[in-house]
Amino acid sequence: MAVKDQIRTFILNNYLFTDDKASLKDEQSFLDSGIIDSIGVMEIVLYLETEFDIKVADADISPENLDSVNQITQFIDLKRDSLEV
Amino acid sequence: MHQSKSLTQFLEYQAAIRPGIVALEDKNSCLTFAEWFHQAESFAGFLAQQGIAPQSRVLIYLSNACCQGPLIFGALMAQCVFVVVSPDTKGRKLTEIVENCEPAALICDLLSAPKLSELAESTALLICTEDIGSIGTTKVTHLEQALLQSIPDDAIAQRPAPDSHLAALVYTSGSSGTPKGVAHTMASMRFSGVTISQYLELDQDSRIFSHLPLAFDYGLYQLLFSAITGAYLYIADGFTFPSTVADCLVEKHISVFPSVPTAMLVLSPLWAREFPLLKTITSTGENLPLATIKQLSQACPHAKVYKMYGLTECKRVSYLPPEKLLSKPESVGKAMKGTNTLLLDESLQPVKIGEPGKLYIQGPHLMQGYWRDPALTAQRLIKSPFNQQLMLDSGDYFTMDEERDLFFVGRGDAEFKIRGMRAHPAEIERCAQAYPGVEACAAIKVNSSVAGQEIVLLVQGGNDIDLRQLQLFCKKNMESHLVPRKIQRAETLPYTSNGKLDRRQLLSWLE
Repeated sequence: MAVKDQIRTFILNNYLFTDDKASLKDEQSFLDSGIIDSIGVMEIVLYLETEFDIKVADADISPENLDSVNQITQFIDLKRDSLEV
Repeated sequence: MHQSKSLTQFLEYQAAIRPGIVALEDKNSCLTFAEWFHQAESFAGFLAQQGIAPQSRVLIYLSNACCQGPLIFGALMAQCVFVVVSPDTKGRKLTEIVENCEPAALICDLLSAPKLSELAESTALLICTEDIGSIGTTKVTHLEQALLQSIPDDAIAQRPAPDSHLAALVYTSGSSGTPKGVAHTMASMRFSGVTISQYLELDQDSRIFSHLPLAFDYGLYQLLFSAITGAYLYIADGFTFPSTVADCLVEKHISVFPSVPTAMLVLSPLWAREFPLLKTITSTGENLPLATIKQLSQACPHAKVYKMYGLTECKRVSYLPPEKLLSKPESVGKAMKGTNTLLLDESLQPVKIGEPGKLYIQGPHLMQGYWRDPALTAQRLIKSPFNQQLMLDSGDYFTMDEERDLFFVGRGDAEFKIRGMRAHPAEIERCAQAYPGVEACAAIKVNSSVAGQEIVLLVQGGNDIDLRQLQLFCKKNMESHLVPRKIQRAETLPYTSNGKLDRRQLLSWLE
């Protein structure tokens, strides 16, 4: 499964309690739609670290990196690229 | 001196001596003390003009925002009883609260206006943050009109409400699963507000940041502190990313940070930064773990950290003076000045030092009772065998050391804290049981690595119950902190010989 699909599935399953992909757009802001609270953010960080084998620094935990499916996907790509260098 | 002023007179005083100073701020707006006071006056005048009688309930169903300041104080000036309900409260619970308190006026936003107009009596006054004119045949007042209209001087009774008048109902979770309204008087709220702000050493130079819901008394009192002491209050509507909290603490020169242990755990990345202006950190709701205490003392060596304990029925019971924090990190300290705590055994006799006993509380901070529930009130507020005055049964067990410092042992019933807020598993179970096919269910709290603790629901019923759908149903009907993070099937649930859920055995199942 592509990274983006994995992220979307995780959010749908754990915060929207559904399999219906139409209920979450890739660019939809979690903050604006009130999907995720502060504990949800920490759960996402934990998930990213275990599932994608990346290290999320405290400074990375920001809306710029983690506020939508698209942003999280880009963030993982970025993290993985920096690992390869 | 302080104890002679009423809550509304405190605000009047601040508006007179420092009118142009910003008192309240949220992400969209701010209010000076003068604006806060005048808007409150306007709202009180509006309520009076509309024929809302003293002691009528005014229900505020809004997200955290500055406008709650004038609404709450305006309701008090009109001698009404304010009821702040979190907009996260929904379904049957919201219906039950509205039915129980029978509000004469409701204030809500655009989104919830149709729902509330359906729930409320047709005679109730509906006020909306947006100008929507009407819903069906119900006329809806625009909030701006209620807060900003000028009122003739003689139109409102600006005399402060008598001490014995009710000031607020704070709804909490009950063992029957239905919400109960804790009724506080003008006097009990003033006593707690003044006493707490004194021991926290709050004054007009204090700058408070609060992410706590105003529907939660811990959040509500931050607003009272501002009126009482002249402190600045930044009202955040919760938080999602720790970095936004950190930025706000720095930008707004925050010196006082009240929070709950779960939030502090989530905020731990914050403490890598420096906050030299932060002088006071307060914690209540749950036990503050030693690891967090150490982290806070390292990150903010100049800050005083207050560990506190309380329950809505008397607001605050005790606090641990910051200088004792490292020597007695497990204690919640001793009773506030002017109040008394007793540890008693089953026959209401004092226990020996070091032995566990149930905690009873006496003082001017006790609630008047549960709204319209004399039976439950009589269970929790009983006459002391020693001085015949009322004492509150906390339901919690403690030990006390030679210095009278309290140490929490456990609770007598199944009630628990989740994210610092009180919840009774019966509330979650009753809600889930309304889902078709659920025969019985049990909500239990388990440890989790991220949130500290989370709720798991065990369900007994047909195999055709779609657990995902059930979780969705819970999400639609419960406040978000109560929604079970996991739902599991159970063949049968364990019961005691009395036919009650055997919660102890349930916990051992999950281990």
